[in-house]
Amino acid sequence: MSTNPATPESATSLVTSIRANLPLVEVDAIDKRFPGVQALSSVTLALRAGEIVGLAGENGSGKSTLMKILAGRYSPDAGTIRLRGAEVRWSSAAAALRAGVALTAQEVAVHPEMCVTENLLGPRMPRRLGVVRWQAAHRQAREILDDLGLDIAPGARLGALALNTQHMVAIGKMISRRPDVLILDEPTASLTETQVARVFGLVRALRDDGTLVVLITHRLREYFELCDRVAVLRDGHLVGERAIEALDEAQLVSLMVGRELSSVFERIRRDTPGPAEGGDPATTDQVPILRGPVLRVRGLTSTKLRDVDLDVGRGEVVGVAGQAGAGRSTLARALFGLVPHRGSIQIDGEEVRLRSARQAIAAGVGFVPEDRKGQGLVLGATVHDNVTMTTWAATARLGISDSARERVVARDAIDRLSIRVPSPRTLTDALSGGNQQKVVIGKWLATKPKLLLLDEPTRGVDVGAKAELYQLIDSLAAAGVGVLVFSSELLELLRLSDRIVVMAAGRVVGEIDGDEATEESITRMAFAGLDDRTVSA
Amino acid sequence: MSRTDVARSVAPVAARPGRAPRRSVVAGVLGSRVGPFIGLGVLLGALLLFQVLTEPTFASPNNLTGIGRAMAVPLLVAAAMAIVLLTGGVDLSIGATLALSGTLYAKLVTSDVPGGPALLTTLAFGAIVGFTVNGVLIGRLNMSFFVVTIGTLSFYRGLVFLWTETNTIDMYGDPVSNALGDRAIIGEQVPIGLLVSVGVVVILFFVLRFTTFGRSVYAVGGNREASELSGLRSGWIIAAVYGISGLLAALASVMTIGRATIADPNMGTNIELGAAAAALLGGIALSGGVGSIWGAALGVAFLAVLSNSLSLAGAPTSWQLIVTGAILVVAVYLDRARSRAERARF
Repeated sequence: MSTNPATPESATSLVTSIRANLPLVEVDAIDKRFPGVQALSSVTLALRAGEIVGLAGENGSGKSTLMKILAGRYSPDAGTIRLRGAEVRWSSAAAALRAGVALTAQEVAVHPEMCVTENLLGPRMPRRLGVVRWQAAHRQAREILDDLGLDIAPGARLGALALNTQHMVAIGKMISRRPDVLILDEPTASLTETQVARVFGLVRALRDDGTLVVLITHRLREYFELCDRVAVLRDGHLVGERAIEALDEAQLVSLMVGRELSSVFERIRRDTPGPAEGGDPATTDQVPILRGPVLRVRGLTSTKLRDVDLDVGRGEVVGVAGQAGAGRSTLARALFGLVPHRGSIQIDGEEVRLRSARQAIAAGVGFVPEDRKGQGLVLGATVHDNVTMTTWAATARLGISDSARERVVARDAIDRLSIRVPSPRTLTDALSGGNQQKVVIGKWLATKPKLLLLDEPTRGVDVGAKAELYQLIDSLAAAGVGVLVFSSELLELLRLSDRIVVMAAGRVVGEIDGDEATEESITRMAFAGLDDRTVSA
Repeated sequence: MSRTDVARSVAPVAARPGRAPRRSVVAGVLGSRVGPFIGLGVLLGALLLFQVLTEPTFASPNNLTGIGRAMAVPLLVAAAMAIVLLTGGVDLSIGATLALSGTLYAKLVTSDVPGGPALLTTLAFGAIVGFTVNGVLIGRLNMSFFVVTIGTLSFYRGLVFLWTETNTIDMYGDPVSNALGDRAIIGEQVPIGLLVSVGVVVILFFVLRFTTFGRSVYAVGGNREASELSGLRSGWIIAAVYGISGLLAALASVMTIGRATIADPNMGTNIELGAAAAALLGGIALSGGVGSIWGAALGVAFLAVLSNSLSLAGAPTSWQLIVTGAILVVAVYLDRARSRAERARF
């Protein structure tokens, strides 16, 4: 810095004004390459203390990579990072954290075998002579938990808690450090709307105290809700920086994808479900006789479900809404035979017992689980293998695979879902989130399901892929498949559903027609359902 | 969309011809899935060349036949280990299962059971024990493979000592084990045992590549839960894999007996370590789901040639152990480096 003040007084004021105007973080011409892809190409960005900056871009645009470089998880190939004007080269993520740069990554890093307090405080546990003072530690943790609005015991084992609670703890851990730079990479993906509101409140308070916050999210609305400014990356290049007032959602999307997109969440009127159009592989073998329900559930009860009644018609999309912990995922898993339960389940009019995934598949149910990488895909296997896995046994002769038939199945799935892969033999690991999700859906095309269960079908996929997935779900329904969408994203449910069922505390507490439902009506129902047992729409 | 969208991901690279990837070609190859396989092939080729040029006795027919004879049992055991590794497990009890099956075979033969039925009984025994004990405990009851196979390792070896009263059994003159373990055909140059082992590897290759079961092995090893949710019987597939491991251990036991002409209660001790080294060296991932049975076979060939070279050079057995141990560590390091390279993306 070339300032050379003449008097002490002016020095102080100068320093103050410099502090106010100089960027806290400067990203200067950063390049980063991974095998086969240029992740970042000379990205330059200046970020100031006391602002919330959104970093937007499609999957693979380099957002997360840039933030991981900033937080010391990767080192750049070229370019420099300056913190308060001084160049920094992090030796590790821990070094960056000590210097006040905190990152909550997309993939939550928690210690599931440790208690909530240990996860929240980590190395900052209060000690006396090196021995942890547990009472004081739990007290500190309690305060953080209160800020987060979490009603859990500080001594509870974290791994035993719901995924969204774990995620909240991971975020709370970073927020409670009061860092100078807080980077939130997809903080809200698994959180409920209330939890999101809590986190945003805490983040705003941090900003007002002078923290620089960088937000990455797939929910575009959140940029408008929280950010002062948005920077947009596309294919590793910075393509724009805008004050949030100067943007609307359509403009943001077109900056991100480089083309105009009709609003993703716009509702498309579906004709009343009826007999399938010919030629569609999902239905050609089905006999579309009755418009009767594909699924009829009565009195479904498990440890987390109470007397659930549910009907899904042929070609109908039914959305299942509810706060986290309302039992959405449990219901999905129960209908796929993964949760022990009592009660009656009829599929196509036939009473079925679902005690395993195999029985559910045999009964005509397909399941797209919430955790794509952990449960949906064998990432190390090819797209071909993932897509055909559900039909291996059926297509094989005497246990020997019929590769010709499988190739047809794989080709068909790739074409129908427009999965972008160089070849069916590409490893699934190499695909973007949206394309991976299409693979998970693709493996159910071949089994010709009557009922498809989609748990958080668009989590962590970019806007363009989201639109495609929505169209795909529409077309599956049009072909006569009954679809249940379990989602924490209300806009998604409103976009897709013919009917929305609201759950609270393991019960169905209400039902709304898809055309009449609004975010408010669903939310009101979900909350009211926690107090009294049933609400009429 | 991004790394798979070829046009897009390639474009920035093409636009900057001066910015070649920093990683060297060698690192790139070793980081890929076939990397360990190619690397090992080159290493083996270099070793063979060096031996042929510097050690006149190496290429002699007798020495080569000796290497083949010494390879037969490790090849079977490495194949067993490879298929277990593919499911994400490890079978530490192969050596002990080998000793238990071998003892059964010796007891049957010394009780005047004819060789053929004795062999079949032994094979069935190995398969059933592997399937019902290791297999069911690990696959169906979801116990840790590490705990279970360490347990059975100790349990079976103890049974063998109890059963044999720690005495060796003389098996000299038993035609079946002699044929499998010692005899060579085609001008007495090609050991029957080696042919059998290679045949087993070929069969396993076809099973792994072209049957529903074999592909399920890869899928379950890659992600057990996703496989289960796709309708694969992951628990039974894992159980079956330990059954195959037991079957191959039993076959290897008869070969071991034939080669030594005795049934030693200590036979097969630590044999699983060399097998794991060979499989990992050949590119089978410790985490499961990745690798080829040929890689394991190549690993065995490499270790056999190396061991032969060391003994031709007059190095004592202790050095062979030291070198094998060092190679195991290097193989695991390469495995880690490979999976890190695979993960170093977004």
